[in-house]
Amino acid sequence: MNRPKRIQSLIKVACRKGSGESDWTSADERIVSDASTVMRQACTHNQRVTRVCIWRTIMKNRRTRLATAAALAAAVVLSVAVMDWLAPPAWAIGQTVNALKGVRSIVIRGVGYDNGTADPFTLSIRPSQDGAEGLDMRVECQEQLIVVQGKKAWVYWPDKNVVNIYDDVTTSYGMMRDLKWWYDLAALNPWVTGKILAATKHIAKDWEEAYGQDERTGRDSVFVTCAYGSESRFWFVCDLETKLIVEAKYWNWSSPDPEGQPACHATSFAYNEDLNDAVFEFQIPEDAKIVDKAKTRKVEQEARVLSDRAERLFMEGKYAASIDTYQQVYDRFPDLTDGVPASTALCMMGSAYRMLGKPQKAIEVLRKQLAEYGHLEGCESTHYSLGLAYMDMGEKEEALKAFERCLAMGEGRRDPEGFPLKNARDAIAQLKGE
Amino acid sequence: MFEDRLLVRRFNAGDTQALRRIYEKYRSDLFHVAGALLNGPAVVEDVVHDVFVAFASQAGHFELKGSLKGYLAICVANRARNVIRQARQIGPERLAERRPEPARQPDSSELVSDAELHQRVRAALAGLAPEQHQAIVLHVLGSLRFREIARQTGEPINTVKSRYRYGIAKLRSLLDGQVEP
Repeated sequence: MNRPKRIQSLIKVACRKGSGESDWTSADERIVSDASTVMRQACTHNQRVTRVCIWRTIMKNRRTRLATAAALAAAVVLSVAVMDWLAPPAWAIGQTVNALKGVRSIVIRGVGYDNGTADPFTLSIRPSQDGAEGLDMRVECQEQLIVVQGKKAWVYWPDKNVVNIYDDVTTSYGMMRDLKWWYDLAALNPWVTGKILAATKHIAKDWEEAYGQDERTGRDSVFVTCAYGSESRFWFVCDLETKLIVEAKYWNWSSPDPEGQPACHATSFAYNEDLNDAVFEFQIPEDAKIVDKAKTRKVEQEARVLSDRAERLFMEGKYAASIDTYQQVYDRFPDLTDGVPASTALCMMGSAYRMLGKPQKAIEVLRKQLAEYGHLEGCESTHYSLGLAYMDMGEKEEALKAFERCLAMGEGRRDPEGFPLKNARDAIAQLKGE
Repeated sequence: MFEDRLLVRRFNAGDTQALRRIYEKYRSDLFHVAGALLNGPAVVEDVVHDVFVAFASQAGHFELKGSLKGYLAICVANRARNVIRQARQIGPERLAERRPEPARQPDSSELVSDAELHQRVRAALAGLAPEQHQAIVLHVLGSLRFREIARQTGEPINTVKSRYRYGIAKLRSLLDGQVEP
């Protein structure tokens, strides 16, 4: 051993022996316990702040959910393709890995449900053909067609004859941003790898595997259930002979009964279908109104940077500065993406004014938001904030009206046990109990 | 590294088990780093405690840049340095409680036991300039690459390497005769 190495070795031995390692065990529980408490507080605070911010949720309309559900269903498929390290002996999932190594395309057919209305869909997916990061994907349902080529995407609404064109789905606003999660996973590797499995397994909770016969096929299968967060659950069936996924279901808050109707039911999986390149091409229909998101991207980015700055100031408790910055968002981008950033800015300004002890000003800007952007989805959050501001003012009747309006608007559109519906119900109970 | 990214994702989602896993994964390294920079188990424990609590307070919006271990180790080193600075402000008599005595120049003919040698190594380390001390501790005990130290501290990598090299050279001179080739 040379002298520097000897010194390094000496340092290690000397410091480790002299550090009182045995004493740390008693500290472990205290540290983890204190850190966990602080972590929960931080998460509660963040949830409170971000829930007020309807920026993201406002765009989560039913179409988005369907696209996301379909994407997530496919994500599960990709995950299962490589879960070799999960395999119990009866489920030779290592063979699944082998079986799916050659898979170059998957077509999933199924039904999405929205408030009981069935909407059949077909999802075709393959690795990006030009070697670029991402995937080629086509999601087709009654109301919408989404075609993704790598990062470029077209979203078409036949009933409106409108096409949105995105040059980079991972940086775009609105509904295509929901695909960011999908790309985050895919970016680990564009196609089937153990990394995606690792991601799935780490993110998932309540992972359970059961063995039995698939009623549809009578074949030996493994049935896997798992959950993501508090709202999303998956169930899928893997054929033990072919080692391939044959069926999958996805539940979210709109389908809370695990025995009941899922939000999305993928009924068939076709592997290695010959997918013509034309499947992943999009011809802009004649007379369609084109919204080229590439042209508005720079402006959207500016709005996002400003909005993020304002949100950060809010989270840091710098409410006055946050209000000024949100005001800039409202002034500069009143109509951008249908007014979503401006609407959010007003909503957040209302919350900031409340935090500054100025409920009258809060009511003023929240009313302004409802007057100018009340047609946008997500305004139930604004009514909830309005109710809080009226409570601050001691105007119980007005507060009750606002909370009840929040409940009425959010029914069937928001998780009844989530923000803001649960909060509004609690506030009403509190007001009536006084 | 990949596991860390997933742990951070779960951590940001409010999963306390992820926090516990992060703690269990790096506690040993962090205690060693703190222990080498500070004197006394109580203050070492406090520093690691404070770093983890501060880390936990970022749940929901923590962004991992570089390695998680590197980030936490640098946080420990920075907090340890603050503790030492505060001790200096309190007074030199309190400082003595928190840092070991500088190395005594050994008699070259002196035969020292292992325990004594280890004590001298720790003392010699404490006698280094703080930046050199930190670079050595993070590299040797924290197992951080120079590049990671540079990234986390914002220092040029050559500066970090120089500090390490000069620190090791000084240690060699302080421990002259006790480090066998």
